[in-house]
This record gives sequence, C-alpha cells and structure tokens, in this order.
Amino acid sequence: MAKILIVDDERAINDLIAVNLKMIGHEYVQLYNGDQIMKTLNETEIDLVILDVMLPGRDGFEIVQDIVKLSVPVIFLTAKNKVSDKVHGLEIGAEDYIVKPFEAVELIARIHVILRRNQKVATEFRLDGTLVELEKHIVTVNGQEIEMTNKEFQLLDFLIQNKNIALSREKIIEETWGFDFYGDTRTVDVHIQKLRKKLNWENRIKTVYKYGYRLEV
Amino acid sequence: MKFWQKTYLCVLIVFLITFDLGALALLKKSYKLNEQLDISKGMTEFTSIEKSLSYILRQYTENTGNSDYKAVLSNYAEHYYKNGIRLEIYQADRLIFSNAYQFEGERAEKDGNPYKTVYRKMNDELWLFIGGKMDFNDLKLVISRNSDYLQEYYITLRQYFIKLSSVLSLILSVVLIFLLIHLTAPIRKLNNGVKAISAGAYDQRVKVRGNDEFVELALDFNKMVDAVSNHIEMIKKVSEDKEMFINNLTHELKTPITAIKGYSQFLNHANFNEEERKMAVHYIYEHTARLDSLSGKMMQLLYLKNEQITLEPVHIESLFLYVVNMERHHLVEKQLKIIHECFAEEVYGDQELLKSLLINLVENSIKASSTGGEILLRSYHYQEVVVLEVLDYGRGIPKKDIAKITDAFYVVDRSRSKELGGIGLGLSICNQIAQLHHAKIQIDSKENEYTRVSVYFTTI
Repeated sequence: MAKILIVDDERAINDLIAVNLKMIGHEYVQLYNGDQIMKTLNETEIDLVILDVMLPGRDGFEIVQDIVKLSVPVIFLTAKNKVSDKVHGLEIGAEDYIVKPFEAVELIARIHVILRRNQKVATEFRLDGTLVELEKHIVTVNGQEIEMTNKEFQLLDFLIQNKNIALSREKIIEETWGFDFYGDTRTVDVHIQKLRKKLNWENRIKTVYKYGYRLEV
Repeated sequence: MKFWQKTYLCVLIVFLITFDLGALALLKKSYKLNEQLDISKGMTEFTSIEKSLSYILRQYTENTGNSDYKAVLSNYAEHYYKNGIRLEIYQADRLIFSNAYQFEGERAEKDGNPYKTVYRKMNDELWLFIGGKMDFNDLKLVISRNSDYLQEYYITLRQYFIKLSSVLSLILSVVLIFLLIHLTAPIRKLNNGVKAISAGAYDQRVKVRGNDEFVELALDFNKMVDAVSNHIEMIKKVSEDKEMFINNLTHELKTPITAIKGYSQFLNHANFNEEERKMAVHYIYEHTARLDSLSGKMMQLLYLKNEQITLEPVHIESLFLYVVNMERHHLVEKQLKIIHECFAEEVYGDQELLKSLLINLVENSIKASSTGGEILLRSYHYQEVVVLEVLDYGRGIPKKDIAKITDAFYVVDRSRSKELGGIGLGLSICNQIAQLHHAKIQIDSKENEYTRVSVYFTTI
C-alpha cells in the first residue's frame, strides 16, 4: 500500500483524509504547514502528496514546484474553485485538483488513478484464501483459479480500491457500468451475490442497509 | 471640415469680397475722374477750335464776300486732323462738312448749347464727341477725338487689381494657415487627450499652456477626469473588496462544510472504531459551532451596515464593569489581570454597540496575551475627544498586517487563529461600530511587546 503525505492546516480536514486513507489501507504522514514538507520528503519515501493551497507560510502553489522536482505526484486540495486556479494548479505540475467540499470516494478514486499511473499501487490483494492479481485479472481461491466475467472483475476491483468504505449502488453502477447504463440497480445485487459465492466472501462483502455494499477487511 | 479650415475659408472669402468691392469702387472712381479730365481737356479744345473757326469764317466772308467757305473749312480741318481731332459742321440739321466717321443714330451733342459731350464706341474704340453752337451763321460744330486711352487705362488698372488680389490672397493664406494652425493647437491637444482618456487611459491628463479659454476648458476637463477616475477607482475598490469578502466567506464556509459532510459520511459508511467515532463527532460538533459563530458574526456585520443609531450619553465606568464581568471566565482561565481607569466619564453612543465593540477588543487582547498577563482598559480626553483604549502586552501585530487587520476575514496567523476560534471578523465589526459612531480606530502595536487599540470619538 502507498504512503501518502497529507498537508492541510485545518486539523479536521487533515484527520478526515487520514481516516479515509486508513480505511483503504494506505499509510500516511500528516503535516499542518508547508515548512516541513521537503524535510519529510527527503527522510521518508512518500508516494503521493495531498496538498492544501492556502497554507500558512509558503502557499501550496509555491511548494508544489519543489515537490515535482523530486518526481512525487501531487493532488491539490483547495476551496478555490475558479477555473483559472485549477488550470494554474495543473500547469505548475499537480497531477489533480480537488475542490472542497469533496467526497471521500471521489478523493480515493483520484488517489487510486494517480498511484496506478505512477505504478505505485499494489498488484495483488489477499484476503482469507482469496488472491486477486489486479494486473493479470486472475482470481484464485485456495489456489484454484476462479472464472469471472469482465464486469465481475471490475466490480471486485472497485470494491478492493474502496475497501472498508460503503459504496452506494449508484456509485457502483457509475464506476463499473458507466453513466450510460440504464439497467436496474438490482444488477448490482446479482453481481455482488455472484462475487460472494465465487470468492467465499459472504461475510466480507457487507450489505449497508438501504445504501449499498462494503468490503470489510 | 476642420475648424481651422472653416475659419481659413471664411476669412479668405470675406477678404476677397471686400478687397474686390473696394478695388471695383476705386476703379470706377478713377475712371470717372479721368473721364472728367478728358472732357475738360476736350472742352478747352472745342472752345479754342470754335473760337478760331468762327473768327476765320467771319473774316473770310467779310473780306471776300464769298459765302462758300468749304475750302477754308477743309483746310482748317486738315490742320486739326493731324492732331487727331475730327470736325463736323452742320447748318441747321444739315451736315455741310465732315472728316469724321459717319454713322447712323441720334446725334444729341450737336444741339448742345453752349455745348454737350457724348462718349461713343466706334469699332471698339472710345471716342469723345463734343458739340455746340458756333458764333457764326447758326452753324453747329461737333468735334470728335479718340479717347481710347481711358479704356486702356481702365483695363490695365483692373488687371493690376486682379494680380494684387491674387498675390494678397496668397500671402494672406500662408499667414492665416500658420496662425490658425498655431492657434488651434490647444484644441488638437485637448482632442487627443480626450480621445486617449475616453479610450480608458484615466491616469492621463490634458496638458495645455497659456491662459485662454482652451486652457480653462482643458483644466475643467482635467477636473472632470479626476472626478470620473476617482469614482471609477472607488467603484473598483468596492467591487474588489466585495469579491475579496465573498472569496473569504466562501473559504470560511467551505472548510466546516467539508469537515461536517466528510465526517458524517464517514460515520454513515465506514467501518470505524470507537476512537474514530469520537473524533468524527468532535469535529462535527466543533465545525457546527464554527458555522454558528460565523453566521452570528455575519448577521451582526450585515445588521451594522444598515443600522442608524441614536447617540446617547453612556457611562464609561459601568461599560467597563460590564465588559469585565462578561469576560471574567476567560480572564480567570488565563489568569489575566484587567485594570480599568476612567479619566473620561461619559461618551455619546449606543450602549449595546459600545459593549459589543469593547468585548471584541478585550477578547482579542485575551487571545493575544500569554497566561498571567495584564490588560488595561482606559478612557481619557485627548484634545476635546473622548478616547476608549484597550492595551495588552501580548503577541502584538506585525507591522505589515496593521493596515489590513480591520478587513473582514483578515487574520495574522491563520492556523493559530483557528485554534483560538477566531475567524477574522471581530475587528471588522469593531470598525463598523466605530464608523456608526463617527469614531476612528487607531491600532498601535509592536510584535511580542504590546497592542494598543484606541477608539477616538470625534463627535463629542
């Protein structure tokens, strides 16, 4: 799992990101101002920086240029939602730009995309007797390979990415089937049932009442 | 057509008309005078011819008794012909001798008594005819002479005037154009300035030297531009302030909203432990409180912006006691000592607003002071003005921040201020209250030494 540096002077926001990252199994380091960033980056191996723009002392737009030199990807997190600010943020080297207030699922998805792009994401996932090889699209239970459809695998991938976080049926459809899917949300239930059976995860994939599902690790 | 071109054409036309009319009158008068001179010369000739001819004829008829005097006439006429004078002799209305041009038409001059003059054009030449009675046998004499020199003189003079008028027009044009371009230079300058300014260069001014109407106009125009650009600046400032305010407000709103939204989602969807649950609930509570405080202060600020207050005498000592009493928990918590001194007893103002003003200032001082410090509340007279003052020996304000400290949402140290629960509206509210009282807030501070906030109530 990746090690992520969170820089935000608001303790509440900083802790919020931290608990969400902890849920899906990432490690993290928390900083509350811009002064310690370079020191931390030099001492610890960091895979990704989540950086607030308005920081006491040096602001995020200034610091990002130094971080990019170390080829560590940066996601900006800010209350500034002007297009010009976004463009500026991306131009000076940030990989992504997230505007407050953000949704945890969205933040995690973007983190995942960037980690994958920078090949810093785990290629396999183990739980109980199940091994999922994410790159190869191979799933084995107790050493025996399980056949899966493409949709089932995408759904599994999405659940693993967001482990310990409840995902609504709508969110699952959006991510796995795409926006233009006109089917019933029951399609999700059917696929979840199949996954539970194939992987022996009846107790791992929890139903969240009236909402969706959560992969508990 | 440009103004100078118009002026040029008008002056030129007026000049040409007056000059030519004058020249024409002069020409006519000069011709008339010459004609008179010519006639009087003709008269002399006529008189002398008539006298000598009458005499010769009388002598001739008396001496010879011959009444055929034609030969004498022709002889005599021959002599005058050489001098360019032609003769005609009539007896009654019958022509008895002539060596002049013969032509049809009325011959009024022959009935002249004693004489009569007529100018006639013969073959484009001007001839003077003078006629009258002779002192012999009722004969009538008409002499005629070429006076064409009058015409030639007239034509020469006219040509001279035409030439003169062209040369003068040319000189006038050059001088006039030079003068007009020189004189209208301020208009062009003014025009260029106006164009530049109307295109948006509000910092430019029209520069014209001298003391004529153009300069007056330019100065007035500059004054107008000053007024306009001041207004524009003011409007710009107001809109910038407004944008800044909204940006800051958005930022202030977004952080608690993000926290509340994020933690409630977390509580709803995540698989959390007890410690995480406590943290989430704590943050939700804390940020709800922050939103609450923000909305309260915002309401106060908006309310103050629209308020009209009545100024009443307020007893300063009881005001101080109220504030100290309100803040006693905070004071005890930080073991702060508060001292109040009243050299001025009364101030005119709104009691509730003044309480709010002092509470805000004292709370700022409490936040700035370190444990065990001292805060001084004072009132005194300064040159007829009542001053309320709050002094602490706390963190102080960096010099660069003093000017901006009363701006809404401005905080010197954001992270520290957040810990202390500040959102940067307190001094903004104080400023608003001071303005309602026509009072002025002056902030005097040295970093890590002291902060003195003095409110000057200028109306009393």
